[in-house]
Amino acid sequence: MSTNYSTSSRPNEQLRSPFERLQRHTGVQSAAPLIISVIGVVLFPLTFGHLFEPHEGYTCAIFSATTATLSSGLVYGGYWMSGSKIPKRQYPKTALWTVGGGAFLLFVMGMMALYQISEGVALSDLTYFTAGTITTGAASGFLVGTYDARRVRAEALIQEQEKVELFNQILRHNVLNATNLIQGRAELLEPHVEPEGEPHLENLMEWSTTVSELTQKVRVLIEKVHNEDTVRKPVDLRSTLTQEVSKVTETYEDAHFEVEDDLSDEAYVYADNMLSDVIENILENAVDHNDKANPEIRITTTEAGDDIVTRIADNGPGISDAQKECIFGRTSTALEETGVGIGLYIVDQFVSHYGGEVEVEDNEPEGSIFTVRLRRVTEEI
Amino acid sequence: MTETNSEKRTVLIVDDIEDTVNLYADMLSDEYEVRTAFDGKEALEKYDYEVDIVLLDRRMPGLSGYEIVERFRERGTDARIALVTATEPDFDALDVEFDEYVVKPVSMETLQDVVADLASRIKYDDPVQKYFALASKIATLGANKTDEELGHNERYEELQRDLASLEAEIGEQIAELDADQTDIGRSN
Repeated sequence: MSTNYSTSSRPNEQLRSPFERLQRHTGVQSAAPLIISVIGVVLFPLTFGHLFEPHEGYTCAIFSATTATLSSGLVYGGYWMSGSKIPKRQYPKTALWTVGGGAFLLFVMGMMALYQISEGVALSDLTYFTAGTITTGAASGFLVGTYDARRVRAEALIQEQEKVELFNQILRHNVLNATNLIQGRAELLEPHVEPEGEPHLENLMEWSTTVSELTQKVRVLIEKVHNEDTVRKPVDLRSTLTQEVSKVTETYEDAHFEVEDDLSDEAYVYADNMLSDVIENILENAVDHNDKANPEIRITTTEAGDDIVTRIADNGPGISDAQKECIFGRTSTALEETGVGIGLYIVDQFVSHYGGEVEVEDNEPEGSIFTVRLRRVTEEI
Repeated sequence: MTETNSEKRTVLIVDDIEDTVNLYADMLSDEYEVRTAFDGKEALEKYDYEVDIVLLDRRMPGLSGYEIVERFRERGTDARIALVTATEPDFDALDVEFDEYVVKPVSMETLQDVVADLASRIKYDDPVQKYFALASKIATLGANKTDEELGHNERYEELQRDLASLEAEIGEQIAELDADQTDIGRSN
């Protein structure tokens, strides 16, 4: 029997609580939103009934209106939940809160009613009274359940982020230690290599550098996940450009960079401190994929209404129309299948996070132009 | 850098990866007397008043790089210490008395420059050494932390004020030292 059990369950089944297993097998999980809506549907006519009977007094009408609103809220609540970000695992708990809330209030009010009856007070229209009570309790329970489910989700997200960060740290540490060794040994090897062996060594060093740069890029992306909720702040685009251009000028001695702008004064845009990495990635891309001995990169920045537009034009081989579609890794397959580097993916992700956009077009007579449009900070800072 | 007509400076290299220690030793043994250690315990044994410069990994089993720095400083000997590590600096670094922080991968040129730079600081007195240690720490953190993170850290601001007052105190000496120092291009 026990062997049957282990073969029929998924590997992680044992880790789940018996409650969750029960839910999975009975289908309560997927039925929970429906159950909540059905409760609302059943209660609605019972609460709605007395709304248009003014001879029963305003108190009754107000009570009716309130509970009818709450029951229709439950109908919508179940529908809303099935499309919300609340994980399915939390559905039954929310349904339980809803049912439990209704039952609990019914119990409390029932006790009070019994007490009144024992004192000789005559209660009228018990169905109506009961339906209103259950509705109020169920709606309150549903609210509590929803907030609880969201809290659980938020906590799980934070744990997930911490795990990703930890894995990345471990990976970085090991990869950087390894590339440190490869590069160092390659440098020591250099004087002992015959001229015909030099290209091999050079290629080896280049790729080793690529590997360590890759870990830096992954770090940037993880930073993005962490900063998802942070507010964008004014960043000086002009000084960021100057700084990044001087950085790449140092790295790529053969490349020539030309910077100009028609900005009247300061050029603050909505971004964050990762803007420098964004610019760096575009500039590096322009040089790395350039087939000329002397890559020419022209960077022009202009004002365009509420935006500031930076165009980075190169004299490289250009990008085919098919490639233009996937170069930013906007579709998941592009990143996985076409071997697109993550540099431009980072660019696109961050620029759209800033509320701007990035595009690529052909340069004349050759090469490509990357256009980065960022929102200008207009108010005084 | 060559120390003409004088004894070679002694460098102690500490890293838990044996190949890394050997690599640095091969890069430095022409110019320096090299000692090696593969963990914190061994580092404490090999460290004495003859050691001028220490290259230290941060993450090691047993004693961490930071703890080793503290133990060294407790002994009162004044070797110049550079952390050479695959880990980005964090705010814990603010209270550790090292002189340089270098992030792997480190090129041969950078490693030799860092060691030469530390060697050149040895002949200066305390405030000057302190100045460079502080300046390096602030620069490394500044490059790795966001403005926002830095802005919220009181200790960081405190260190910046310390640096400013040291600068006022020893301005002339720094100008002189800066002039004959090689510019270190730190890899990142």
